[in-house]
Amino acid sequence: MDRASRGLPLLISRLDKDYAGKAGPRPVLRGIDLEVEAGAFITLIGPSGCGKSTILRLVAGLDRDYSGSIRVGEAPIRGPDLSRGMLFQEHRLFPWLTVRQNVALGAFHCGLAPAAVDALVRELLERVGLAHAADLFPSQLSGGMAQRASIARTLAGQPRLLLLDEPFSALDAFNRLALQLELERLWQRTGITMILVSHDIEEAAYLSDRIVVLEADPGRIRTVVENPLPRPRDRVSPAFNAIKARLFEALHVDTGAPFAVPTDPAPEEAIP
Amino acid sequence: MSMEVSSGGLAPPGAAEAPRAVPSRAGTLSHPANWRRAASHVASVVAPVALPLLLLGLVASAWEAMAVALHSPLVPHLPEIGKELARIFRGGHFFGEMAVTLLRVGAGFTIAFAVAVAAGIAMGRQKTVAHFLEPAIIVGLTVPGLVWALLCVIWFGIGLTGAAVAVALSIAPALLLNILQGVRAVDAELLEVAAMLRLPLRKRLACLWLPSLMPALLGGARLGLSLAWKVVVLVELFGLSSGIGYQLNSEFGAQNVAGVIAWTLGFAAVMGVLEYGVLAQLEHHLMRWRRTAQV
Ligand SMILES: Nc1ncnc2c1ncn2[C@@H]1O[C@H](COP(=O)(O)OP(=O)(O)O)[C@@H](O)[C@H]1O
Ligand SMILES: [Mg+2]
Repeated sequence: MDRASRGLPLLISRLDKDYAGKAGPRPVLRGIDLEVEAGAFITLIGPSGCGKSTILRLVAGLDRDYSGSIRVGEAPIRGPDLSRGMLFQEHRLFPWLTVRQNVALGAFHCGLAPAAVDALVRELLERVGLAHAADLFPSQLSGGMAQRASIARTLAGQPRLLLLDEPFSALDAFNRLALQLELERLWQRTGITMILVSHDIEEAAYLSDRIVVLEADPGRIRTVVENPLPRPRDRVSPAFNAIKARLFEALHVDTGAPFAVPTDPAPEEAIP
Repeated sequence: MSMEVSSGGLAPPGAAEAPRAVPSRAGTLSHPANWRRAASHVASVVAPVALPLLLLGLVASAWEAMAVALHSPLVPHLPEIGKELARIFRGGHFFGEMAVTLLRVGAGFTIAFAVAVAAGIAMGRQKTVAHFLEPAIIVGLTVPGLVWALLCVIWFGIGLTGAAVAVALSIAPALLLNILQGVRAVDAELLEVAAMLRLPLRKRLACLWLPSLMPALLGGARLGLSLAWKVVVLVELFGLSSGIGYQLNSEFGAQNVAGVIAWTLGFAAVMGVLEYGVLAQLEHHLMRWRRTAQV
């Protein structure tokens, strides 16, 4: 499958979602409208509890109790499907299976011949840098390795839309940066549509074409920040900082800057 | 499946116990830390064998002391018990009887285990099933094994069926309770992953339910076996003409205390082999993925 046809588009319209509360239903999402073209990389960002994970779970098909419409590709959502892969903050590997067995499970539904599964698993482990750890159990992996294994398992299902629920937020800074880079490369190579949930402004600015800022109670879209910076992106460039500044502003975060945060990159160039 | 580590420079944190040559001054034997490590290594090998033997020795000594002090035929000396042991083991007599009893326990245990796993998963997943079956568990737990033994001898007469049903009825409630707790503890996040990966039921059972339930199943197996012995002996005592329970009863009829003790000891030894030799090894193998605390 060539790059352009790999990704699936996502169209969410007038999405409402309630959770049962003590005093009747509690509104969690209200009037979410979101269009993600095939192969785009978007990030959902917003305060804790604003419903980011809920959106991903609905798109994944893990929860089908909502009103409004969610369409991935041509078809409406009818439960989980391998074409929509999901990564969680925790690696969620099966602790009693080795890395190799965990990754193979990701392709089980495809019904490949055992030899083809073996080859696929080997290739994926190679790609995420875990070829040497194939026969270890998850308890023997570091956090970064476990999350890599989890990525390999999800990729084994040949997803065309990847839902990433803060997958790097439990990692240390070095692993986080490395995995962000690898995720960007994967996206560029495959063209899988990416929907990332993050509370890391820098991560959002580095990875995404568009950042959807949500607010809570009930969860709704506050604003959308376009991020047209060319790739590879320079995390310390003034233009990059300008995007970050716009995100801080959209999230109403006080950056501690003595003056209004400049949206024009020029004045910051002198700062070492 | 072996757990070898390819030479990728990455050592599993759990497998670092093999002695390693450290090319530094701290590597010499005179270093106190190394002595301590060597000592704890020896202790970890010897203790699991030595400590149980120590306990057995102490109990035997106390018994012999009691026999000497009381000087009564009700408390036979160790050599008398030894003689009885030699008698019952001669010509494979003991093992023949033990095999008969084991078959009865095995049959009852298998029935109870299968029923408990199926009912446990159903109860854990469906509230209506749980409400429906809960009274059965509570009643089952309170009925003494003796009652099941009597009833089954009356209902089924003498034979394998009666013994197996009595065993199954007495251990199923405890097993079920154990498994039910295991089912409720199954990781909801992994259930979600199984749904995301679209694993079919067969694969879900093999890769998620069975391994998740393994601690509860092993715990249940231990508990179930220990209860099963007590009941099967009763059934054999009331209605059967073979097996350990029957032999115990005939020694009792002959007022041969040493004989009763000898049969009991042989029986306990087989239990011990089952527990340490089979169940513990099985557990060690099945739970090898679990991280062992290093402190
Ligand atoms: N299964 C659930 N039952 C009831 N309420 C839930 C459930 N899951 C999430 N919520 C509530 O929905 C809101 C949004 O949750 P979530 O989507 O996890 O937020 P976020 O990922 O943005 O932090 C929260 O207020 C949370 O308490
Ligand atoms: Mg969340």
